[in-house]
Amino acid sequence: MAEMAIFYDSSKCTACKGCQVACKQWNQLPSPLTADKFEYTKSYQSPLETNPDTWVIMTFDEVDQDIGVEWNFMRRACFHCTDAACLQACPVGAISKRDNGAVVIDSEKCIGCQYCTNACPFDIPKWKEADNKTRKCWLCQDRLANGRQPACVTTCPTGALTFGERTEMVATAKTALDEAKAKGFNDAEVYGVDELDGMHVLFLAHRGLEAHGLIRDPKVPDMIELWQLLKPLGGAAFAAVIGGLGISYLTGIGYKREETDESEEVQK
Amino acid sequence: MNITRRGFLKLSGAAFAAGALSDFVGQSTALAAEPLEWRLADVKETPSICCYCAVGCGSICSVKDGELINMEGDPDHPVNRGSLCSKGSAQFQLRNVYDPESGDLILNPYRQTKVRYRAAGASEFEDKDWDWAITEIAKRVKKTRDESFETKDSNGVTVNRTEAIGFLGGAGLDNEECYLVQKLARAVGVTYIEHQARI
Amino acid sequence: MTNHWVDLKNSDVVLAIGGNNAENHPISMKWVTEARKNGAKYIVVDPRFTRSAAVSDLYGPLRSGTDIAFLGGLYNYIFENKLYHEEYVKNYTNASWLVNPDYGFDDGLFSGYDEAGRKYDKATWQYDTEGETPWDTEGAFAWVNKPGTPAFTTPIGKTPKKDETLSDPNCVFQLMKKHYERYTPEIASAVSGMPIDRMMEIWETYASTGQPGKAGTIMYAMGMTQHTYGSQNVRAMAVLQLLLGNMGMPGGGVNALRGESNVQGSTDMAMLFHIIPAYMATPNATKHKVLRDYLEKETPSGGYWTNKPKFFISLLKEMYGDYATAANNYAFDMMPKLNGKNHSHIAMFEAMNEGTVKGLFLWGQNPAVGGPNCSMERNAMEKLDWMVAVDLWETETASFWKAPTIDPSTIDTEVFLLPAACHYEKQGSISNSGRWIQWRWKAVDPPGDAMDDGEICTEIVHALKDLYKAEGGALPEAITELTWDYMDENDHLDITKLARAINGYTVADGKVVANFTKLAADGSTACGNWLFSGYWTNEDSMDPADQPTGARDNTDPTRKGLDGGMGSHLGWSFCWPVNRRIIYNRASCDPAGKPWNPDKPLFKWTGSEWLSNDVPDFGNKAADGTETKPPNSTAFIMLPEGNARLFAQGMADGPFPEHYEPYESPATNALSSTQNDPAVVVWESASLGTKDKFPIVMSTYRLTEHWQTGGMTRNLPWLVETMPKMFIELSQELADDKGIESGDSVVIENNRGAITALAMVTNRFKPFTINGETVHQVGTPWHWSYSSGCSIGGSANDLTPNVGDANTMIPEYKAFLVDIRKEEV
Repeated sequence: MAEMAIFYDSSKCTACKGCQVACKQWNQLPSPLTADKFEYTKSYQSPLETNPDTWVIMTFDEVDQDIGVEWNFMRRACFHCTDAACLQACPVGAISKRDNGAVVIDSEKCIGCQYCTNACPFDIPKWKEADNKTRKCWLCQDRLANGRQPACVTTCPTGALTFGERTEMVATAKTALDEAKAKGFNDAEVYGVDELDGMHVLFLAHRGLEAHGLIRDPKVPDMIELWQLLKPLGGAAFAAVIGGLGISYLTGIGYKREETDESEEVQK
Repeated sequence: MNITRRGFLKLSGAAFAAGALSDFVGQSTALAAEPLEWRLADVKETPSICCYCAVGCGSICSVKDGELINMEGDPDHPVNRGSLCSKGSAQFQLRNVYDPESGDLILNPYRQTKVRYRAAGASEFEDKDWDWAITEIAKRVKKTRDESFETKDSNGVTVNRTEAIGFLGGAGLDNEECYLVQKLARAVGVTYIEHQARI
Repeated sequence: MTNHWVDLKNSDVVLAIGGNNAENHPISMKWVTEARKNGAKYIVVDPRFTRSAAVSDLYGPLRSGTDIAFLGGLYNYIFENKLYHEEYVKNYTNASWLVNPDYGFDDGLFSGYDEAGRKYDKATWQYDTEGETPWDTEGAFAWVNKPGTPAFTTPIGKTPKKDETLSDPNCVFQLMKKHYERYTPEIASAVSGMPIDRMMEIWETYASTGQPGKAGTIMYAMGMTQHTYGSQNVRAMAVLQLLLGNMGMPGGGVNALRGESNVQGSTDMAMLFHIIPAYMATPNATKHKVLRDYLEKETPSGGYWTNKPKFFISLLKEMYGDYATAANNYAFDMMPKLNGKNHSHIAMFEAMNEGTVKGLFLWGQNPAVGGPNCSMERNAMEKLDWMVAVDLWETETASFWKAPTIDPSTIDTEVFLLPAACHYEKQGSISNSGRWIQWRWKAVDPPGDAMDDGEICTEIVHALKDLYKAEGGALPEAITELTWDYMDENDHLDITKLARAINGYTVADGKVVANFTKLAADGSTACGNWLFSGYWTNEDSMDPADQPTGARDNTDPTRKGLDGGMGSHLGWSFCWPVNRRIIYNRASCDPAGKPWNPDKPLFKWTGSEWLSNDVPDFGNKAADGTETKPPNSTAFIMLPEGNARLFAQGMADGPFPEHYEPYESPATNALSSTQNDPAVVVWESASLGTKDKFPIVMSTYRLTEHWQTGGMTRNLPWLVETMPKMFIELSQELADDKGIESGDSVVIENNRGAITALAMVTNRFKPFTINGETVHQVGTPWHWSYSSGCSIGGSANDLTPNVGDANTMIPEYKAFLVDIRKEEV
């Protein structure tokens, strides 16, 4: 089976959040039912982070200009990395990579240890206390198996999200890059083609990676590599022990929620 | 009903032929994918039009066992071609929500499903039935109308109106309903008839 | 919309002004994106830096309420640089028509102003005419002689004086040119606060669509209309489009982005005090004492509205059926007559406050949150004897007696809250902004006891009929004789039967008419809404899928002889009138019938016949019915002139749009000493404030994630999560002045009220420099209030003024004054 990929083109995105809601609609994800459960984020970005029941969010970053601002939008959800730190960190083999490139958590097998949430350089998977499970985007495997596109892509009004074979999406991204540069977006960059051995979500960040809040050169934490050697020794029981050592503090590379800039300001 | 459907956008190639059984190579345990249940097997699909802004996007309601289980953009619709914005994607919740505790599909707890009545001076609504409510409403309309009805104005012109009853709203109703509501208002003699277009 | 959503793709320049299409009509961006793929430019002019602005090619900030200064400046720029579409202006507008030599304009006032009455005598605004043309009642207008047609004196057309060279000082063209000479770039920039270089760049880009063959489109919404001169704002855009030859063009037009899913349809159905279905005037006791008066006063001498008697009598026949006869003037007297006073939304609440309005029906509307100065509106509701609220939710209006600080025991209003079905729990048609009447099928039964509005209305009508039959009362026949023969075998409302009646039918055999050209003024036809005529025409089926309104052919072929691909989609639903997708489409061709843009032809005259991609909006048919009538220059068939109006006599506040300041403004009018629109009526309850106490301009607006008063979104957890709380956006500069940081609770106040909102400090808001002074502006969404669902918050409309537009009385929501401070906790 061919590897597939989503391509997100920030120059076409209006940040309507159709993707954010359509994902919840299709994947049957709840939101709280009472007012006290929602927090003000000081931003159009809400929630500020993915959570166990919100797998896709739109991010909003501002760069001040003489007239108005550059208001830069980005899609944040699982990147479906080839070199997937979450998968390598999982002590019980609950995370797998599908032939189409999707990285998927099997809820039945998940033990809620949160190694993956700490390993992910993008802080994407999220643990839910209520059922002690970790969740994230699974690239709508059920839709793909039935000839549909991921729900976020289907609902995108402007074609900012497209989906297809990864090789085609790489070509599409490069064409979009040329077009953006021709329009004067000199800082435009493509993301995800080579990062972490190739992601299955590709990006055009038309004002540059930093302006859109993407992490340059993300890496799988070194500790994860070591962990890979140890893991076969003990499986799940071993995981409980090593868990005490706190794999998390060794994996501080990349995006973390503590660093979220709530004011939407990005220093140029 | 004889609806022309071209079906949802098919992706090219045979990439999606199987349920994507995985045999991931690496140190981590390679997992077989869990069987993928297709939620939309055996559903009844009904085309609809979005209730929010007036772009008039098409959507498809999927109903199983008499209950709405999915609602997404109509790929055949020439304006939205399957896409929907955040509000359009949320139309489902006008009726159903997922319970954060159980994950179950439940009726949106804020939907009104009972006729409710608030008596003069009362601090709460009470539940009523339709027959009672319609009868009582008709009595009040008649009383207010009859007491305020002007047959002729001071110049002797036939005016047949009441200024004591107001009608507001309609931009969320279907055209045919709008026609009926304004017809009722005008038969009663209402001159204060307005709706969202004015504000 | 004169055009429609898909047609946006045909545009060369897209201008969003007074509308935020990317946020409030997100799918419009699909077609803007399509246009941009072909090189189109997307311009956004808005006081706020919105998500539309974020994705635009050019953004111009403009102080709220200064659109006419900006557009008037653009006219002047177009005249000075001769960028107008000359052939179009000469042939299709009233540019060459001469105006009464006594017409004048001085210091913000047009001739004929009556200061005491705050209104104009429009005698001097009329055309200069010579000679008269009566109707040919033996020929084209022979229908007036048919038995059963009510007698009325037919109108007489006045022959205009014209100067085809456009040089006579009293011709519209010269008057207009002169009027806007004052609107220099410097003045336009000083008034609007838009930096002059950016303004000139926008003007140059948009004026490029004046070249023959180029098309510019304007998208607008409430940012244009919610001003005391909102109607003039809209006219100002229409006039711009006429100067540049953009009306009737594919990719052109003036496009109102309507805010509710069926506000187009509810307007067509006349849920408004001043009109009855399909834009005919509500009878008025002063003008229309009897039917004859109505027909004489309301029927124009020329244009398509000469058929109005046919539409009006057919409507009366639908309402009262067999009871409506020639002998009783088709039950004309059953229709209530206005008393000459304004009965619009603001006036209704004034009357409620005075105790005149005692009972109120609400069909999915929530004025306790959506009305202007809405705390005053909530107070007015306390005086009601009864209220019937039909809704999906317990709205703030239905529970106004539960508002904070109110003691319910002091309120005697009885409230009936009736549970309604949502849109996919019933069937019926709905009209989008592009006038497409689309059928919406029922997917599921309503939950619990919920019922659709049509059925609820029907139940009430039946109960009233029973009561009046049993007890009599005031004019009982108005109710007992009302036709309501839309019931199925189980005595439930059958929407399909109703749809037939709205489409219209011949009385003798009950067969549906093909379209409104088949309607008659002699009582032989009945029709609920002539514009809908053609939407339900299949006599052999009651299945909506077999009717034009239910049509689902999404291909885009030609209508006749051309290549198609214009996005017309003539086989998808039904578009009023007569399935015409772009109105005034004759103007897409030159007077000889050659398309201005040969690459995107809507029509083409071959020398012997018309080829078309749309349903023609002009007399194209020869006597034998074939489309072989040669071209002429009558491009605007609804107007007696046949030409579009650069100069319009119908407006209450002047034949040309003129800049005035909002009623609450931080600025003195720099264009005249007439500060405000002189034809506006102000109620005392508006409690207007001044800039010394309230120096900050505020606007209200909507978000992608929410809708209107929030009932339909604050009750939906997914949407609340995407935008959870009420907030106020303000600039860093103002925040620094006031010691406010993002996340602080801010008190916003003026004479009408005080609310709190959470601060969102952002560079998307910047202070304006107006006539050399710094002016701050803030903005809040108006989706929140004190109850309902999973999100509550301050109600912006507690602050908005109940002062309305001179023509329509729409409130000035978009520009008013407040002060703000950090809430001490």
